[in-house]
Amino acid sequence: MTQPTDAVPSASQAAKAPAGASTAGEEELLTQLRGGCPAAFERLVRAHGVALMATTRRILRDEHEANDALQETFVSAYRAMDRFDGRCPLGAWLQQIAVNACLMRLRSRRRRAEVEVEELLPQFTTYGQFAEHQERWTEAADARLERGEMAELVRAAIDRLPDKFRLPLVLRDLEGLDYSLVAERLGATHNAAKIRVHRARQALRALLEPHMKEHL
Amino acid sequence: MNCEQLMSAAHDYFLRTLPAGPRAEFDAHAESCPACGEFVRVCREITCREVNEFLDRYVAGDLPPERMAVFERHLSICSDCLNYLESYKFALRAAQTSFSAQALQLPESMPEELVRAILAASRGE
Repeated sequence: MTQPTDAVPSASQAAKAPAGASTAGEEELLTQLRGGCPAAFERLVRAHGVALMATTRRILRDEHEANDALQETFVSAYRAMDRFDGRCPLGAWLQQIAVNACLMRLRSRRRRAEVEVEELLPQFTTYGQFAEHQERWTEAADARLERGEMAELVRAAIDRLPDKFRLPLVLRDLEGLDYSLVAERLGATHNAAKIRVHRARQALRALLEPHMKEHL
Repeated sequence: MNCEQLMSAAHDYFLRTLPAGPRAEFDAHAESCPACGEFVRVCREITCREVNEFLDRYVAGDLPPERMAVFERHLSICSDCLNYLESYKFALRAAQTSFSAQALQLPESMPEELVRAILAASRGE
């Protein structure tokens, strides 16, 4: 059995998540959950499981480990249910528990082969102009993206980013957390979180560039 | 120097690599031609580096209106920045598309085995 994470956010912390307050339907479910109703917990798992699976897979990038983190998320939530005051949607609260569970797992992971983000940033002349001309990417790239032909390539490129930059990108651009929550989850300042998201996008852009030029 | 020649020389002019003679002709034409004068003024208003540094805020519409206007003017005359902006937005869109539920091939509902494992773990089994 996997161990639940201790890092369960308060409802007020989770209230900063993008979605609004909990709904009337959730209130009823919450009452049943607090009463220890096993059927209610199963409904919670079935209702939120797939969305949280997306979160754990985006962060951990390993199906088996993502499922373990998902299990930890629900067990942690089950044990901390009396600390949830309903001021935010259950989904937002669960999402933050899932993010914490994933971050704890990442801390014990071996370092991956990573790119140097600084080397992927654009270069400028002393007078602030681009050192190299920037070519227009082909419109065919959009069509390839729409057809799903670039998904593996893009995921592999993001996997090459150091976690210091990959995680802010995942939390902000894929999980939709606002910058203050990204900063809080990662123990960074608000400004550092914003800069890392921007640098991660720039680095991803640079990693994709050679593949765009192939089709010019 | 005419308008077309000014546009061709603009890159070297702003890189400070244009020789003194053509540089003086460039300045003289920009002084006498309203359209080219406006082009040079916009080029001096903000550098590509500054645009690039705050591109995330521009994309999010998170700049004061007067700053947004400066960005817009620069992007209207600078193909390097415009092309970079489009590719930056493409990278962001590509990340979101490639990690969508559909792209990750997530199941439509929770696998029964996983549900059972979670319920058992919550009971401390």
